[in-house]
Amino acid sequence: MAQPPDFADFVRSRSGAMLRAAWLLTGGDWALAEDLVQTALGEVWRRWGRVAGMAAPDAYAHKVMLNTCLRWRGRRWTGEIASAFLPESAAGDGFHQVEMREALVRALRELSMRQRAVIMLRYFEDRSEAETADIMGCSVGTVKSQAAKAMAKLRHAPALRDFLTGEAVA
Amino acid sequence: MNAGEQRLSQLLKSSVPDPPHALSADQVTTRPADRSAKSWAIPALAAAAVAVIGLTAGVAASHHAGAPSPGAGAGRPTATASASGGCPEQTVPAFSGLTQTQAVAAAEALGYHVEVLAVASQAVPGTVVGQSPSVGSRVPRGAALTLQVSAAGEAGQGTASPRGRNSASPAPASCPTAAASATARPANGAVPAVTSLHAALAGTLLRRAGFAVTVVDSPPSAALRYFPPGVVYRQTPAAGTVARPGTRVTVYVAPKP
Repeated sequence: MAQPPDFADFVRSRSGAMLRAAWLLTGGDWALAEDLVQTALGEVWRRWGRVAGMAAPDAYAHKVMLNTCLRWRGRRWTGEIASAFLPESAAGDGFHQVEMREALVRALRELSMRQRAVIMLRYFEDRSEAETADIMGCSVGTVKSQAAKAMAKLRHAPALRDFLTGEAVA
Repeated sequence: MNAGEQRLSQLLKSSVPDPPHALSADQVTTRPADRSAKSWAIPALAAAAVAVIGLTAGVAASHHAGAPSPGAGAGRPTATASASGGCPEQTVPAFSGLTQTQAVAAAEALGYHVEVLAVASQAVPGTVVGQSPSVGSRVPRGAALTLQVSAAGEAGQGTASPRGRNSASPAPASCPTAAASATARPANGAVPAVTSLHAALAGTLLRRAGFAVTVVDSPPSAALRYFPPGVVYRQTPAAGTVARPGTRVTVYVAPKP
């Protein structure tokens, strides 16, 4: 029996990227992001015998993660989160960047789960509209409209509006 | 992509911070991430179903098997006697949490071709943290079984180390039978693995295997919050320990939150 790629190696190499994507999906909540990634990886682990042989197991894991969080949208992720902890920032992080990050997190929480998913796939992972549609299991038209709605909502956030319309120097 | 989209893309990429902790595989396999009742009910039901199938098959096969096989909790080896020439399939039990020695002995007794893989993990060095095929899969007797064992000094050890990989047993040429020791001495039996089962089911399995059972309900604590409530998280003696019938097995049950 051929030895499939080690699951532990897979987790080690991919969980960082998945966590970052999950951070965006959950509106900047590391605890939820970790829950999401662990749940998704748990699903992958259950099917590891099959997934390990795939050309791109990481793409599959990503898809599982998105489906998981889209299925979980009943959970009140968009609800007010009582403790407004800022995520730990790396050393040398400018004040401006922290401010922008906080503004971004607030704005992301205003978005629906699907809109966050589109934003994450299109603009964080630079996937094409077609790829995004494939991963989310919806049409390209839906991707376009969700992305447009999300952009419009993000522009509503005062701190982001200047940046996104190019009126402030980044 | 228009200018606004490009700026958003730039903002997203510069805003996402580094994750506070890295995830490792043993967190994935040992910690149920979604602690809502619904999400763990499914694996629990699956485990229960496997165990019930195991019990009925065990009853149907009468008591030919003699002493219970080691490590057979949820996955009591239900050797479905296939009419064809291939090796009979059996359900893979849970090995995680056992020491490497116990797990290898149990797995070999069940006829698996065992391979041990050292992995970086925060678990106690020398304990099994993962396995492939996974718990509950059905594979033929004699199939390869990989046990992931927590390596000592995990911190710097990035990859599965080759030295940890050893062929603990040669590949069997034909369907191996269950270890002779299990059948030769029907007086003593190996304690089945009942961790990750519900307390009631664990009790049933243990009594059926001829052991007395003490159930200890643990008080809530931070260390136990990741275990599904009502599920056995620890047992003594450990699974695979050969003990006289009637020996008292203590199972520790995770608290309700």
